[in-house]
Amino acid sequence: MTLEYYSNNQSNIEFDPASLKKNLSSFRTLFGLFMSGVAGLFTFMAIVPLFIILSYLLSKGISSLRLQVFSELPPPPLVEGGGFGNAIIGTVLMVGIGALISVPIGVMAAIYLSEFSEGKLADWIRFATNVLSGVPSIIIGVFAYIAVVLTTRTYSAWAGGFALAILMLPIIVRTTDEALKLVPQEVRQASIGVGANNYQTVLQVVLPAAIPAIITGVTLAVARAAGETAPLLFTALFTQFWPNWGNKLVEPTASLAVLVYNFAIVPFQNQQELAWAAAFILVVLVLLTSIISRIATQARTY
Amino acid sequence: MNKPTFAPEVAPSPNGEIVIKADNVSVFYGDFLAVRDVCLEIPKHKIVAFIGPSGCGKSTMLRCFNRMNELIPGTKVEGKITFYETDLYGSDVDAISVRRKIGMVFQKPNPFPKSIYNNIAYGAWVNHYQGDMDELVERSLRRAFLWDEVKDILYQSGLDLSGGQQQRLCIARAIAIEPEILLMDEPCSALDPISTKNIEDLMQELKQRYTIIIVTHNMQQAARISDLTAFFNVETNDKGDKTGYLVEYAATKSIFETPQQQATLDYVSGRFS
Repeated sequence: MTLEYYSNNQSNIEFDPASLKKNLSSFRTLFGLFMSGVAGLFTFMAIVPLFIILSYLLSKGISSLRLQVFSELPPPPLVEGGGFGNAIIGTVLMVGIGALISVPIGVMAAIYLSEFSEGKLADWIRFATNVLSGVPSIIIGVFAYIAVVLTTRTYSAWAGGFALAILMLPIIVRTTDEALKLVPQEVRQASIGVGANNYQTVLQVVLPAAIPAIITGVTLAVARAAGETAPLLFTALFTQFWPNWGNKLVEPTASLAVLVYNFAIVPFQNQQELAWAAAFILVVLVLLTSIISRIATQARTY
Repeated sequence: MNKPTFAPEVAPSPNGEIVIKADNVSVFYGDFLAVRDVCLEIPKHKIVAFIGPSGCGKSTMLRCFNRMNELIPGTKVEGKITFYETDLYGSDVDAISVRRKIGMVFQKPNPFPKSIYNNIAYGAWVNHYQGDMDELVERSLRRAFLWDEVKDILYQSGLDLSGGQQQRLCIARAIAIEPEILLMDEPCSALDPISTKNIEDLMQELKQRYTIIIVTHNMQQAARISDLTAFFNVETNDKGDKTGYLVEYAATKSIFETPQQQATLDYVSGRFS
């Protein structure tokens, strides 16, 4: 019925080829162009800060970057030379401790949330992790100070790592949870369909499929933790010396972020320059982890 | 309520051994009755097709046979389903062992994100297979007519194959653990006609060894490949809930040529009330 209606009508209308031509002065064409321009401009503005920071750090940091910054200790004021080898070691150590604590807990928690939990409880746990990720890092530092530093009566790399672990935990839980949810239900059913049990399905099928996305989450968390100053200020404190391995990390420990904080606010030229160099190294470290995660996520999954 | 007056025949193939028997099976999702009062028997080494409109419970019924429905919380099965003499829902029956004996092929090809080799080996591995894995992989792929296409790329991802090849990989994966029965839930609905024909040919081969139950929306397919056909229909109650039920179950030829029920005739001839 509708078909006849259209065909009857159509036969009376002359087809005008000009009606297909672009009309550059029509309002909707102009509006479309304008909005595309606005969106493009704002996109540009969103990435500008990154490039300004990078180029500023590069110009300031590279001039004071010498090979001995990796191998020497922070200098006293007004003494030329020196470096922050101990701070690089400290940052790597404490981020490593943080990752060792938070990755197993975070990934397991996300597996529970995504694969085994039901209903309200999971919603509450997700909400709680979201709240935790919103807690200011200085508060997390205070908590670690009370929980670890006061009980052990000393600043230590362990306390710093503990604080960073709490910071990393919600990021890892959330990204792993999302990654596991992206694995199609059909694949789980296929695994169960060939007679696998739940734990075989999760460990052998679901988790491998989600690994690239999980690695992305972990590197995000590592990058975030590496740049954090506040949680380390009163957990790991700072030191001018190399770690004394005999103390098993139970001693104040230097870190790049705290070094930048300390040296950027002093009036001494040599320490300010080192702060720039340390900031540059920190950003390079974060950039490297991001690049590694990009390479890891290239593996094909879903 | 238009209860089916037709009582499905007990043994549509008198000389065949019965593998699965459903006795007054009803399936609930929570309070919602999805399919009710199904009685049917599946004879050994036959292809049985389940046809019917959407929502008639044919897939639900299929998934009862390997307890796949249990993955949906709140599912309840009433009545009795026996596999040979064993009550599939008996308290001492392990669902994982059931799925090992009653394999499944899904609507969308769903290979694991693993190599072709490991897609096959996985099922054997979780079932503690002791024999020669290479030989098992080759045998399963040959039975699924996939060996010649993949023998040189066994260590590439199963996801790199075409849709039709993926589905045959899934069939190979299902038969690698030597099940008794193969449940197929619309296995060709995501495939092109040539891949569909490959799978249909494969099913004719497989029925020498396995009993196959296939859910299909494609009536020509049911007519082409199956020995027996069960027609499910759907009824709507006062509250608007849709419940499926078995209308007629008989030899495929008689379902399509001389159906006993008006509803079956309407459906197979393309008329819907």
